Amino acid sequence: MTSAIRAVIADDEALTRERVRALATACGLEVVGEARNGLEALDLIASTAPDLIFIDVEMPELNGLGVVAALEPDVVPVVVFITAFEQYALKAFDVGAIDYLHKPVTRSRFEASVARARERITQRTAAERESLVEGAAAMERERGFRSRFVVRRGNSHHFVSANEIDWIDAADNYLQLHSAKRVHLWRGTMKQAEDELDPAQFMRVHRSAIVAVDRIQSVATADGALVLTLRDESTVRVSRQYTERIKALLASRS
Amino acid sequence: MNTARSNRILALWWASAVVAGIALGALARSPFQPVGGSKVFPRLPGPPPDVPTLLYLIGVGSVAWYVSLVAFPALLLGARLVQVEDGSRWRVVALAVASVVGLFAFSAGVDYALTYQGAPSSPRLDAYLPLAVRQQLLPFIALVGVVVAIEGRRRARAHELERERLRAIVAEQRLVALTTQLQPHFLFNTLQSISTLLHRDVEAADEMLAKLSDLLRELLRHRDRAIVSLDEEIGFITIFLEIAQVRFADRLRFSIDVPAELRTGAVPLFVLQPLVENALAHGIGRQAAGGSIRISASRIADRLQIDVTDDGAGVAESAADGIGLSNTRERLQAAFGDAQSFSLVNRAGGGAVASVSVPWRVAR
Repeated sequence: MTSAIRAVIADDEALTRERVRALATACGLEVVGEARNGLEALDLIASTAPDLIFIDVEMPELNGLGVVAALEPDVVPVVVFITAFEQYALKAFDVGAIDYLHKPVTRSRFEASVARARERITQRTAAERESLVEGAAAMERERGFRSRFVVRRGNSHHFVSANEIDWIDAADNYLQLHSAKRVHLWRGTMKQAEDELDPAQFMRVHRSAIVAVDRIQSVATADGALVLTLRDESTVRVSRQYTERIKALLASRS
Repeated sequence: MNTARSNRILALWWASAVVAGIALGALARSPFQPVGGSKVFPRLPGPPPDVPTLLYLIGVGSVAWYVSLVAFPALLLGARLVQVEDGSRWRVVALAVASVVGLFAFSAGVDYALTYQGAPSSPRLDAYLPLAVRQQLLPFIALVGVVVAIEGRRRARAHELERERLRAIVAEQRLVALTTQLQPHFLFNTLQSISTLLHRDVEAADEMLAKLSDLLRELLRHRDRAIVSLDEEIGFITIFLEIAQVRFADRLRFSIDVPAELRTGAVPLFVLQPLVENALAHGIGRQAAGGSIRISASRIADRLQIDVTDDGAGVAESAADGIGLSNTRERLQAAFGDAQSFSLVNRAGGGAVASVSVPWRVAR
């Protein structure tokens, strides 16, 4: 090991952060930052690219699982969950976290956890990183349809509510979330967005387009294909494969 | 409960049999000589003034009378075995009609056989039928009607009792479950705080440990109660807030403004805790400068209203229904049904106010 392991601590409780920082420092880790909530944690991870995060599962707004689910695949630190309550600990193992710590965190337990993390940091494969993020995302999915997206602007993260989105199209590895004439980039696939959004609210109309059903203003035909005009005046082509569904939808609405 | 009821029906049956026996004996020993048929089933030549004849006139001694006496308890028992799902009223009607027809056919058959037994000539069945309908159909309709009414009432009452019982059980279990569900998160976070303080400030850790002990004492004291007085709830929430004050490193201020005369009011145990916790998480926790929480109560007519007001960032639309709050809703529902209300709204000047309104009741 040439350099110290760089760690981030995310917990909404100041006293927990204080203790974890003290323990981490005693173990020879370099604590590069502390976050008080999920969005701060994402910002911090994006700007510092740590090797390891200690993250509280239960935080207001965006919880620990939500943070992991929103990580970009190229910056996925080793994750150690901190939890006050057993039920979350079991889930933490499900998503491939390296370990979990119960509150109150003891020195011996913490040291064992750091030892495991140390080993994994050097050996981790890309596939493991991906499965961690995917596992957390899967657990988030279990809680119901996606109501918001965590989007990144520079190193700063924000929520975009699903209700604000007019339509979505694909751009390389990202989706463009069009919301009131602004575009937010979200890392993910059309398939994922289609699966996670409420089908009563959003509809796939093209290999690379999803529209919010209630934003459809008018429908025209061009070159034999349907073209939707949305409330924000953008136009979206409907591919043949989805034409019947759109027609059925429009018929049911009129 | 069920066996007691069956016993009652059996007793009724025996009573009917005894009455039938007495009537039978009275008729058998009466000096009245019928014109035709047997002595037990007499037919009347004119209006004689004696008791047996009067009994006969109101139907005693007719086949329908005996059939009714015997059939009544049997019908009652039978009716209890009938399965009636919601909305299958036609089934009941069909069964009732079938019972009437069956009883009538049996009774008329017996009557016909007995009356014309040994007579030189008997009328044809189709000539006898209108007479039988006139004499026997109405009593059986009345009988079956009475049975249906009794059974219907019994079922309605049993149903009501059962529903009441289930509701009480469910409400209690839910209250207990929901109440216990609240504590672990807080408990272990507090233990973590104490653990941290031990390394920094032993006096502060000691004080916090004492407060946590107070809190646990309160929990144990109330563990088998679902409803407490507002005073007890305020006492609990005060300790809770004092602990939170340490956890939030003095970024939290709180005040409690509850008039003495309202402190006897009944509230669900720990109803305030999730509201305060929510205010801490969404109101105070996110503000670097911290904030304050105010708990106040007022009585409006027959209702007790408790407000938890914070001056934090307010609630986001998406956060307005977090786990703690749906828990509060369920507990209020379990304790007070539809007589309660709960709201969480942003205040014009910033921050949010959570309001609980329950019917005013003095706690035991």
